[in-house]
Amino acid sequence: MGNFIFLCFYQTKAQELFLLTYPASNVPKNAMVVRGMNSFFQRTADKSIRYPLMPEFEYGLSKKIMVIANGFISNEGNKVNLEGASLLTQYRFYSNGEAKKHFRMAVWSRFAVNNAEIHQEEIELNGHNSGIRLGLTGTQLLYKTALSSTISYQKSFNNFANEFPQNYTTRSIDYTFSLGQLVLPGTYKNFNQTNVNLMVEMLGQNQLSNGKSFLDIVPVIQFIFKSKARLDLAYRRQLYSTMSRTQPNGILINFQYNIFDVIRKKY
Amino acid sequence: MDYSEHLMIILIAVAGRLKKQKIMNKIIPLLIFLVFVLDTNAQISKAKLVANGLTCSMCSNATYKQLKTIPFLDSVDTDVEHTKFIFYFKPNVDFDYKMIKSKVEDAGFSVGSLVLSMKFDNVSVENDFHYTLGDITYHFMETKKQNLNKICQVKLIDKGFVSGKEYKKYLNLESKYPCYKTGKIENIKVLYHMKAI
Repeated sequence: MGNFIFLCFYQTKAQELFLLTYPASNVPKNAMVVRGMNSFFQRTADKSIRYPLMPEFEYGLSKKIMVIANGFISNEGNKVNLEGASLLTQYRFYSNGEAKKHFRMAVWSRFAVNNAEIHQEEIELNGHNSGIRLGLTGTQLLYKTALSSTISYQKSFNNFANEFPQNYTTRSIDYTFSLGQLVLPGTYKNFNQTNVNLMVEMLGQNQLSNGKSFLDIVPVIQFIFKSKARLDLAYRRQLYSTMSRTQPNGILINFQYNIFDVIRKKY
Repeated sequence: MDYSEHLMIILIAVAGRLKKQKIMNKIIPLLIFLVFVLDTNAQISKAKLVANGLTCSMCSNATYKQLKTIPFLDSVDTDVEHTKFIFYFKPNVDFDYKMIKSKVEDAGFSVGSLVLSMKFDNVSVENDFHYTLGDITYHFMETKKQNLNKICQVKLIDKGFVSGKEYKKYLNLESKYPCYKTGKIENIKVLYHMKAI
């Protein structure tokens, strides 16, 4: 079912600064992105609101390699907890650019540690599980439209103080499809114009051995200010799921700021 | 007579005075080098670069910030809509086109075209004409026989300075220009291929 929906979306028209996935393009060399994403998700069990905060730093080590480090802060038990952190490294191994077009491919790995209690079958290295994830991304930019897709394998481990439940599957294949469209401005005049991008991301998981799966859709509106700051507003909605998930639906707010030329080199 | 020719005369006069002194042997090569460098750079003052692989202003800004770190550029102007960057070289400093290319690539993109505003003084050019400025020899390709005078637009067409498609087009002319693929000719230190436009 997931694949069918992806094919339908392939026909529509984005810029590739996606919210929940990274394109095969990297952060520029020696540039840093400082990012904070706050989510508001309603827990299925008791209808309480969880609002995890994810601070993140992204750095371009070279034109082909970027590293991303983030932390996961939750309001579990009505207090602020640092529950975990992860490190992602992406290597762009293919890039072919023409005027206002490119196709790129990248491989990446994420290593995450977490201390949260595990109450769901869904494997989520972004804030819930300790584990490792290995992925492949392909991204196509066509003028004002961008399409990007990822496929990845992930394996979860025990969280620090909380063991991974034995009746849950630890391995999954995850896939995503993202598309975005630059809506405004119609014509660029300078760096100070506010950009507006509309995006849709689809995120799916197929668990190995038990065959359980889910698929989510995430519409996003994105504003870029002065060509260096970015604000995203999004809503994540479960389309279907055959596995237990504690908080599938919610609102996401992301703000990030790009710092270029971080380490000044003297010639 | 331009600035560099004035300077050449002054330096030769100074060298003439110094000839009587024993330090002359050390200073003369230095003076010659200095004139060489100044004269080379006086001939190229401006260039237009189109970056490939980007559309949005955040990507243009990333490219602009990378280009701003190049030490031999005096200033960089932008045309965000056409992902174009116009830059002015500092006078009297040595420069390196490969640094321009690598800065664009560091931003995550590639050079679509690099057009130099180069000053010529009644130079007759055609295919396979070699024009040397300082350490750099420019090999003209796909250029009709013409006389270049004053400031003319010339485009660098080596690998990495044009799109992949355009590079392949020139590569098909390998039998006509064997040095295009190798980028080397014996006894020439730095070789670039260019086209008058």
